[in-house]
Amino acid sequence: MSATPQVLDVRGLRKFYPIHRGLLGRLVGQVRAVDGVSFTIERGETLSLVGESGCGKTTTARCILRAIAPSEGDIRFRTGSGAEIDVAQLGRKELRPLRRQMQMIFQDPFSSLNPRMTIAEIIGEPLLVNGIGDVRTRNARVSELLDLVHLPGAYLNRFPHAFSGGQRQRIGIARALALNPSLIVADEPVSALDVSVQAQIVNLMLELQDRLGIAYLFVAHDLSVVKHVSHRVAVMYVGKIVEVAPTSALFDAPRHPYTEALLSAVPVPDPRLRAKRIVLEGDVADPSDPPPGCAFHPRCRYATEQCRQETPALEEVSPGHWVRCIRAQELTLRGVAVAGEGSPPS
Amino acid sequence: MSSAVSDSAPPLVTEAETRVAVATQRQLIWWRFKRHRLAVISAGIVLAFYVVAAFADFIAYAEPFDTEAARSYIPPQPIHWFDADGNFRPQVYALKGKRDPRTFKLAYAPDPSDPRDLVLFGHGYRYDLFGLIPTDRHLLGLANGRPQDAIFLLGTDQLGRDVFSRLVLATRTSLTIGLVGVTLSLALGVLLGGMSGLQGGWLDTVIQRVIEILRSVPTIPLWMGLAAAVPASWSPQRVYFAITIIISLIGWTELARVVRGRFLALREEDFITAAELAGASRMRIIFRHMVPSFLSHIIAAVSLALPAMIISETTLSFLGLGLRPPAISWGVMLQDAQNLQTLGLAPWLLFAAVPVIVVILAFNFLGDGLRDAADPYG
Amino acid sequence: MAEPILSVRDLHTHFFPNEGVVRAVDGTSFDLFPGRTLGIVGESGCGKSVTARSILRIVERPGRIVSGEIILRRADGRTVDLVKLASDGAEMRAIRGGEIGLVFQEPMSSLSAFHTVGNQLIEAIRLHSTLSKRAARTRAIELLALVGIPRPAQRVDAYSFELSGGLRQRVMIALALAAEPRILIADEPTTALDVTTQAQILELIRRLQQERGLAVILITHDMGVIAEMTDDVVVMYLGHEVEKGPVDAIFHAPRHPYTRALLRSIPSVLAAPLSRLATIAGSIPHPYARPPGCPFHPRCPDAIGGVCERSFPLEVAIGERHDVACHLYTAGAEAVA
Repeated sequence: MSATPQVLDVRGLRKFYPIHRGLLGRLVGQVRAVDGVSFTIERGETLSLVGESGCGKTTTARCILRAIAPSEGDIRFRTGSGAEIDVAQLGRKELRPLRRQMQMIFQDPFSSLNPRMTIAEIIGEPLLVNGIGDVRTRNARVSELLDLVHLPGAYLNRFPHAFSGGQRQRIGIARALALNPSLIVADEPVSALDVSVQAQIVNLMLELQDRLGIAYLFVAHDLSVVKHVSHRVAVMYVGKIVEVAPTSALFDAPRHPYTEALLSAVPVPDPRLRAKRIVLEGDVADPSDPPPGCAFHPRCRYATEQCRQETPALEEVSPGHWVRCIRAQELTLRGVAVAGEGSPPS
Repeated sequence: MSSAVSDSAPPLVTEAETRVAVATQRQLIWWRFKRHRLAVISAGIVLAFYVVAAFADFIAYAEPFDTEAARSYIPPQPIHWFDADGNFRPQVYALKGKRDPRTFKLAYAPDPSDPRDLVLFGHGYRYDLFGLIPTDRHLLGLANGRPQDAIFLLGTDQLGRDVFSRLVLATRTSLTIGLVGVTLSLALGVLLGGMSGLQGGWLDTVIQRVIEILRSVPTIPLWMGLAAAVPASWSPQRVYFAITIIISLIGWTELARVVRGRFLALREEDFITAAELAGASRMRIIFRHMVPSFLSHIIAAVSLALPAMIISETTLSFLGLGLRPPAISWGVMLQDAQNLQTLGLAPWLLFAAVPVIVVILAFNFLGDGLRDAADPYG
Repeated sequence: MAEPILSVRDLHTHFFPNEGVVRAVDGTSFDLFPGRTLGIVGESGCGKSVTARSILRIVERPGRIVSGEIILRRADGRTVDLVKLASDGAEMRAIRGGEIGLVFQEPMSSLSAFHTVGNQLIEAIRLHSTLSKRAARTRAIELLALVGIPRPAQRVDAYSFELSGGLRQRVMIALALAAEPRILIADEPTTALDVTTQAQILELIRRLQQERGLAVILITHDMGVIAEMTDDVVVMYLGHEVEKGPVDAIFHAPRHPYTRALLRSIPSVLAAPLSRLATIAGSIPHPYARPPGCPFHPRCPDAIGGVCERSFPLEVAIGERHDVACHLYTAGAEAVA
């Protein structure tokens, strides 16, 4: 794992939003949307960031791309030439050349494409604004990109409204690929699509990873999709990562009670596997007013008095498997059935 | 097994469907607009009015300032389409004076025994077409004689001036004040609204509060105050511009709010983020991505702001605070109809209200149609 | 098997906008039994939501029920065909809420932002009973407790925006049950919720069903939810019912090519990491451009040339209470009434 260079190294990322009240806008508190997140992504691998609403996964993704400015932390990006640059504190101008290396795929296929531009213009825009090639080379590249995402070249002069949701996502992917990025941040890229179309897009992303060696930061709430696309998975709760592990390890043998509950809550498409669910009490914690100590303790079946007092740190419990729980070593938690047994019916 | 064939678009088999697929946003808006019959008719009406305004002198037949006591308060005279023998021969009756036996007052009235032939493109007073081409041809004229002696389509006012011709010329003035005023408002509105929406922060707060203060001041007293400040010694043209500026200074607020709203909404759109992430400059994002997006809204807002301008001018002039004679506008003409006596004697003077109502309604329907066509996905 | 509490027979609901006709539901039939859950599953445009709205007679213009029967068996044994009732008549209004409750997908837009939760519950209760305001309020608090809302006596005066998504959905369920219906229709009740909240809501629905013997129609696109919650399943595609049967048969012995392809293409937490998904070629056609004959034939790996594009297959029985509408099975089989 250390032989292949990392493409992204995030340390201590924090993003706070101030809360203002009253006529004069006094600062009364902060929403700790992202509260000390650290992780790495290797070249050509997919790290998924999962969690429920308010966990901070989307904010993390946008901070990494500098679509929003982080409050604290390092975001070290390794450029194509091997140099490591901290993106967190760069100004707009210095960021521009780096933009080419990191791109994004959005969740909503309808608002991610400018309805007034043809798809040739949309896909070609990154090339245009970065002054790459002339008109002819750009057009050639756009055709090449359309091929990569399996869209017919005849569609070049059409407008987004002529396309289905799945096709628009393909167009968005083609646009993201235009500059040959080494990292693509995908923010819930398939949640707005029908099931059969999801499958096509997931396959496309896997295929592109194989062909082009792109790394993905895959932000999602759907654990089933995550199982199919990830090398490693990071689970977030209220702004912090509570568990990071290789995919099989996380799904088969989770070490954090929240992960266990999440996995247990996912409905499995097999009526013969109606296991007894772990149903959590209460609602997801509020990031502007998290509980003391471990943020998950009010909903945790295994919580002790100590959990309320101590804020746990992320620790490595086995190689590559990190958990934020003081009881991680003593608990044996339930994962999903092992792949192979009880596999999806066909 | 990954899909070799991509998921197909809505099947673009037919010609019509392909047309839809390659249609630009503008075309889609046009097609949607065409379906609103009322809006399309209104567009036609508005267009007709502006044609009249452009050809005002041509369509008028009597010189607007030509006063003649003999012709005072003549009621509207119809065109007689057929002569005594039943042939198609448009005619009007010339005036003849008659002394009333009891009061000995000389009164002029059209005389059926003296028909004059109407012709198209007859001679009349001299003017410059479009301000460039000197001519004396008008749409209507008499075979012989001056048109203002016999043609009284809408009657005359107290000073013997032909109402129809004055109305046509007033149309030009009133409609162009609207245009000039709206252009000024547009410039101010887009600039300030844009800054407000894009920058946000304290600038936005300041501009919004200014807008709110302006809008909360009662308009008529405000206009009255501003108009009263216009020196009486100014020429009609200067007064015209002053009035225009006064109206625009208040009218820009509506457009500014529309523009600001659109910028605020657009800022959050994913395709804007995508353009930023691709490295597009601020300028490109504003002009290539944002502005085309709300252009149609601006057009709709403008077409609703125009009638407001026209009403403002009409109101001010009607109150005597706007354009003053010898300038002619709808408001000035309505001023003549202000007192009951006049209304009793010459109710046709009120006709000046009709174009105002028609054009305002037409603009409103047109603006609604444009707005509906631009929304919901525009 | 007891008598069905609701029977839908050959329902056709079409929409007539300016651009053309959309045959949103084109011949659906199924039975609903007390104490059992029927799942209606399909992707966008399949007509599952329109089916639910047809049952409750709340199909918006320009749509209407064109033909078919929706037979409700009332508590006293009498039956009434809902299609024949006036959609805004007194009898249908009594049935809506009184006999059949509906839970929508988006609790935020389905609850009034201007009334407290309690007011809305009280209104629903009093519409179908003769309770006084005070008694209705007590009942409202009971309902909130029933659906698991903590501190119901305080929460009854809360506004919907003060509650989280999960709590709002519980309020929706309380509203649906306020008049003690015997049937509950839940249209994508958990799609907008987090997965742990979804688990809570599904658990709640299951518990309420057991406690009250409700008949539940669960509409969703999520096959996992179907597997977890339902006893019988109806699979729909482009307005047509392509297969229906007991949930185990649908998952372990699916017959229709669409059902099989759909099951193969869903992602699952049980799959091997980084495994590809099986896909269905092509995509869902535009509603105005419905393929002739069997609507699935352009994407069907088993399509029979010359047959499938000509006519829509009749539904035939291929197992115990297991019916499928596919030309592969119609040869020589008995048609289902």
